[in-house]
Amino acid sequence: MSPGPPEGAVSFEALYDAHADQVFVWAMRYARGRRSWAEDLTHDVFVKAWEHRAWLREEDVRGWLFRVTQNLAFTALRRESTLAGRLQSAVDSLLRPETPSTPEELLARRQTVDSATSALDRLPPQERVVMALCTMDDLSQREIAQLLSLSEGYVSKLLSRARARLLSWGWGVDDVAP
Amino acid sequence: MMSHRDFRAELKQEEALRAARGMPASARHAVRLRLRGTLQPRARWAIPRWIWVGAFTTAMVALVLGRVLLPREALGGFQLVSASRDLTTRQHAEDLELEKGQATLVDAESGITVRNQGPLVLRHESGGLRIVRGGAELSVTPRPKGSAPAVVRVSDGVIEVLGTHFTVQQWEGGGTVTLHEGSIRFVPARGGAEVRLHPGQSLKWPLPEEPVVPGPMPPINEPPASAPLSHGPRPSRAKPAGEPKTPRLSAEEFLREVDVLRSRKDFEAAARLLEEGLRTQPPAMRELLSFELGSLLTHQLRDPRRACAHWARHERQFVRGRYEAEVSQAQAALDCPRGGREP
Repeated sequence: MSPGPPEGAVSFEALYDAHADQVFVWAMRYARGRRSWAEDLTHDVFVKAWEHRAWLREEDVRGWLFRVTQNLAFTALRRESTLAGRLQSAVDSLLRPETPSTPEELLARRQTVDSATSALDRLPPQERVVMALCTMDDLSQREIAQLLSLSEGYVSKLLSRARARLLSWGWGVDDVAP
Repeated sequence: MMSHRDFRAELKQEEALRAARGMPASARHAVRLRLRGTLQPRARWAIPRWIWVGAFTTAMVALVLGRVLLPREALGGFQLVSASRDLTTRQHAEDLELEKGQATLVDAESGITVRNQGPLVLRHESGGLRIVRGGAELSVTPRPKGSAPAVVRVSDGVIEVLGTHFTVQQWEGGGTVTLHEGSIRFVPARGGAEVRLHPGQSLKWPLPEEPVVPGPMPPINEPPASAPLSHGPRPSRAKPAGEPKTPRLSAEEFLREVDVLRSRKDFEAAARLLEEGLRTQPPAMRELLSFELGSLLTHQLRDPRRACAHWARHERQFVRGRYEAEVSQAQAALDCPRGGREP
């Protein structure tokens, strides 16, 4: 794919083969069913990985990819929420309509209409990310704040709002660890 | 009391299902291809920035030096210094015709700058140029003392220049030269005394019939009586009494005939005619004819053997002659044997 990595660093092909699935699944958390969005994010994560290949080591690469995926997703969703981002999304959807390409994907989308994932998708972008990190990865408010470079108070506020919304939609979310 | 579904538990279950499905093969392949496209150029651009900066600087320097040092556009043996947009030129054999527009040309060999005044036909010749037809403003950068004069040839003679600014009009069978600054010397082709012009003076040709006793040719606009017209006749240039006054061809006809043959590229015939002229034309014209013949053998016929032989004869016949510097240059270029020996 590219010139070999420096001595001691991970092999890029091996890195992609080993972690592409996981990165894609993390990306799909926030994609609201848009596979191309998750592909874009996966691409961007591995580009970052290539740029930092000199510092990547096998033992910590999964954690590094997780942090990068969450941060890139958070940034991308925040950008989407701006007016320019919404216009860009509208243009993208016209140019690249999101239609399930296989019957399996169509079935999976129907199944998620009333699912927890669909409720997560309905949350505002920033609340979506912090709630996903809190519920699926069991991260504390402090860990989320460190991961996304936010203040703990802001993370707490986002989680409270998200929990209130979910509650109103019939979902119970247990108390978040501080 | 309303029971709520467990968001955390169901979300984890759904995430586990997604993880089990993994990344679709098509998506995996598509992202891999995109990554190849993205990362390969980056690898190429990983060349250190200083190399790009160095290459750019070198290119800019080369461009600037190229503009300054490289030869300007050539036009009929001249360097084109400037030209108007509507300039149209034609090349007839050795003649360059400026039909329309304005151009400034430089003859690098002689250092003569020519700016046309309307249509102009001119020709690059050894040691100078020839105004065949039309009007031109000429200037010559001042030459160091002792160096050979630049030469501008017209139908009836030669204008020798040592750094000056003047205007020439040449038409069929005649013409004028007007000196603006500096000093020029008009050497009639058919012999007779040279005429030295001073700023503001003009000279028209064909010149009046030469008097039996040679004397200076009067300029058209007669300067004040105190202004000298020339340094007077040189005994060596004067026509000897024993010479026939009317050769078979007049000097003007003879030179025109040579010009016709040259324009037809019939250089051998021109050389034969010049050789004949060396016998039949007046002695005062012979140095010019001999020089013309040598130039023809050197530059047009490119015959080193005949050219060297001719230059050796020329040197013997015209010791410290008018074209001494040009003759030496031609001999050096041909690598002629020194000491005046004929090869």
